Amino acid sequence: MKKIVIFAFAGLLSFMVLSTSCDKVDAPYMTIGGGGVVGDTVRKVLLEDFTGHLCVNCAAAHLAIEGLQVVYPKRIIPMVIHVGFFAKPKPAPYDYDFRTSTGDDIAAQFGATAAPLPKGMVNRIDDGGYLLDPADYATAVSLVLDSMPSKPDIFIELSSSFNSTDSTISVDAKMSVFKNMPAGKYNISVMVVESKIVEAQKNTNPNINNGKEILDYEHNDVLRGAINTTWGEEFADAALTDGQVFNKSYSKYKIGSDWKPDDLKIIAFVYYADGPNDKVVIQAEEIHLK
Amino acid sequence: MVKKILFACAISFFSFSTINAQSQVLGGGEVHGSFQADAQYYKQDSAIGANEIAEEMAVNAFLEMRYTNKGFEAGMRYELFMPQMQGYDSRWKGNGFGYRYIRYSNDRIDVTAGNFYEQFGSGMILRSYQEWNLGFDNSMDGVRVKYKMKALTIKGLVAKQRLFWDLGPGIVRGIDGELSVNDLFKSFSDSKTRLFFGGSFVSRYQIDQNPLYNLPENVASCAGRFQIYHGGFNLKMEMAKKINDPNATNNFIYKEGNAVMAELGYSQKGLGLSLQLNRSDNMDFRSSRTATGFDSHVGYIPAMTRQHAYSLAAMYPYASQANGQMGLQATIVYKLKKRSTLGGRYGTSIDVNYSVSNSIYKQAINDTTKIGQTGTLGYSSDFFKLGDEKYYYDFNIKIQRKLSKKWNVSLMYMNVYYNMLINEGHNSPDVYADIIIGDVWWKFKPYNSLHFELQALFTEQDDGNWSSAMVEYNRKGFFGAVILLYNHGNDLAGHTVVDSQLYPFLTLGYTHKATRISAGYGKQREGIVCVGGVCRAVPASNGFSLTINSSF
Amino acid sequence: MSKLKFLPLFILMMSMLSFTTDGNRPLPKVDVKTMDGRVVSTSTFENDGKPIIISFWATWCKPCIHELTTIADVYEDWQDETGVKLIAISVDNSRTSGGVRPLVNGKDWDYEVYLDENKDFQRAMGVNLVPHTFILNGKGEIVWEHTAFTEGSELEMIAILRKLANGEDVSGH
Repeated sequence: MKKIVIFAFAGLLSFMVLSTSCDKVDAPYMTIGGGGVVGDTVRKVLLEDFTGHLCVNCAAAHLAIEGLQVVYPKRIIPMVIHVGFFAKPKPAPYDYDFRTSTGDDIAAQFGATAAPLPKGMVNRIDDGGYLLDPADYATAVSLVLDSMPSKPDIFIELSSSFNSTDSTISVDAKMSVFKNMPAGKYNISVMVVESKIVEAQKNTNPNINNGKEILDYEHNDVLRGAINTTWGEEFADAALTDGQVFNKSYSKYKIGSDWKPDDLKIIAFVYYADGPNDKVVIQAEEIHLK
Repeated sequence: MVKKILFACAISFFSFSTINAQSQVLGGGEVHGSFQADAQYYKQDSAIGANEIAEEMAVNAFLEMRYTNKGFEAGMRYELFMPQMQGYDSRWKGNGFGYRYIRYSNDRIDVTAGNFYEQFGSGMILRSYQEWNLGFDNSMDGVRVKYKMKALTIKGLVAKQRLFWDLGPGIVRGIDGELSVNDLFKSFSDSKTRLFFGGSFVSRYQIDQNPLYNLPENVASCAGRFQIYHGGFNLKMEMAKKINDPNATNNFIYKEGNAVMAELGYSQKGLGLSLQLNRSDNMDFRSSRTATGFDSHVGYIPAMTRQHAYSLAAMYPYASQANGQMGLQATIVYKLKKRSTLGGRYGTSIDVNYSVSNSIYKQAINDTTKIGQTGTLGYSSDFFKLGDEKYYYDFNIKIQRKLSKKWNVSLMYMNVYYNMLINEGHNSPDVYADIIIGDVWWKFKPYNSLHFELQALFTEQDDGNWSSAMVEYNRKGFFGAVILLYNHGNDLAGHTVVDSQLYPFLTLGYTHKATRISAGYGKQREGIVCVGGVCRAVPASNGFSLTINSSF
Repeated sequence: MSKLKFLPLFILMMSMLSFTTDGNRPLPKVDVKTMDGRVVSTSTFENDGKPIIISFWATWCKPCIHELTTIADVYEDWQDETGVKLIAISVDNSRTSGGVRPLVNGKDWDYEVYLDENKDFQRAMGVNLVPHTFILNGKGEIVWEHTAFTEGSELEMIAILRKLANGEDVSGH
């Protein structure tokens, strides 16, 4: 009797082991580049990354974004926002202040001001909370770029110019509607980001610089300011129909004294400004200033 | 919504029956439970780095009730964080029923539906538990069945895990069996040697929607264990293994994980010895592969170090590194006999403990792959080779002696090494500290006692030297204590100069049966609070606090 | 205004104080482990019709050790006088439970000790903090409980045990 019990137990256990498939994965473990659709009029995603130069895990988040940009070339528009405790200027070499009032407003709106960093948002989608851990960026990006039609609902084309005499930026944005959209408010936000800013970054991730801080870290896609205010400008308050075109122009935006025009990019994105999808980004675009 | 109403009805029903009936009889069943509320009023204090919070006061509270009637049992816990106290995860903010279950059990079978806590073996591949005072709760929400036979106990479960006010994304399935060999064979039943075997299997399912990695959706782990007891000797061992589980804590590497824990002990009256060994490699097991911090743990790899009760001894606690650590712990407890030359009239107890934890040896799998590189097998590791980085060590000795009916003294010395990067995650100099503690109890009248405690911590790193003095007065259920904690300031090389700082704290309390109320006023330093192997960072605070605790 | 903030809590506190139990309740039925690995149901706890003390403790809890050490000094006298048995329930988890056996033997405690590694028994008894001590009468019903330990608590305990041994009513305590 007892032996039967033991055998029954052993049988049950092995049944569990065998029936619950253990997914042993073989190499290659990663997708190497070229995933998704490439083309001109494709859906692009806004990836906002809340970060700080004192945050020891934030460099790893930047690396995660770079990895995604390889998989989805030209379809990810990153915007890196320095906020909160980890972005405070400290004695040198951490004396640079990356913070912006626009960034602070965005962080306050989405709960990132006091959150442990790194955290990010993909198209400002609220999936049980706006903020994502970096390990979730890839899945969230894939849910937009792979699961939704590759043709965007609204397409943005940007052109920009820089006047070096008075250091001002002019931007023209053309929004072409590719799909009938429900009645509601639609906003466009236009921002300036800068890359290749070399300043110190704390780090303990053993996979980056052997877990040491990086004194000459290259900060990319750093939010510098909003050309048409933090929450942008409403360009429509109606139902949109396929084929409609909207144009917005902005000029005389003066850049900061230490910004390098060669490294500036203009980012634009359109989003629902009310209704059930309030704040959700529909499409994003970027262009080098020069 | 319907669920919420049902709970509300049930809880009011329970509480009314308790308060009105007093005898706590409800259809032949019984209602019992417990309650705790902690409130703190926060004042800004820039000298110690205490921040102001918008709400001024924070309250954490819970009320737990359970109804039992023969084999039937149901229970629930209402929790409130309005807002959460400083140092608790901000995702706790809110209130509601975070825990509820129904259960039926008899001598053979035990079925639970809803929330439950469970541990397989020592918990290496499955442990769900709660530490209210740390804001930790990874309870399972699902179904658990236990089946008990004379020699064999089998447990099976399917559940999701609680993650603050939600459930985590992964599904956890597990089975565990434990066999008592002595109860299996008649000829062994009276043997002096007792032998146990156990085995468990746990698998996690989580959908793969990640475009970067080709991720396993089902991650399995298994563990085997045995225990032998013979006379004063005992030997306990558990081994666990996990298949490829790329996740946020291991930088998405595809290496398999494993862990071993062994414990050898001998004891007789007046003497206890134990030696523990542990090694874990890539064994951080969670129900969500993107979880970090304290979120969604399925497996529990404990820190094999002593958990200290004195505040300065507990200042630098070791944080267990499930993804790679190798260590040992040895303990000797010895009691010098009563009425002996060395032992004195009432005997003297000596407790020596040493623990050390190291990194594991890691080797690149080939020339082109860096150690730990994402999307690869990561590294290979020689099981018996130590890594070259020390994480922690702690040597401590404690002597306790009752001098007379009225006087009781204990002394402690501790020497600790604390790797800052591993334990706190920042690049600051590692800490070497010596700690001396003296603790005296004076029972000057029946029901009246005074308790003095002096502590000093010496280090040239981190915040430098600390000292602390405490006087506590006890009279029946009443107690009052004054604690003076002092940081000597520091002008250490490479540090910003910090002025010395005093943290005075006054606490008063009253205990009546199973109810305890205490109030405190003063400054508290920022620090790490650990209970049962989990640690939480607590920011500095200045203000008034109140705690109520009761069970019924 | 801010002075009134704690008022609701004080009221709650006062009501908790009056929230005491009259009826004698039996012990919940939960599995715990002996120090030599056997699984034992708490329903098997018995002491031949004599009272039982159940004390929840942990190796990392100073007042718990203080309580058990204090009682250890007078345990023999208590046993002779009232026949009491002390059952010490360690709530140490797998991190520290390895230290229970050496400590109990090293301190020469003559108690019946069980491990409650995942706090199943602790939860069933509604224990939030250790030390928390219960006294059971000869019928195995909980007649008294107390949280925290202060010097002199042991005198209250022996007073109750004496009454139990003499068959007196202890509900006044």
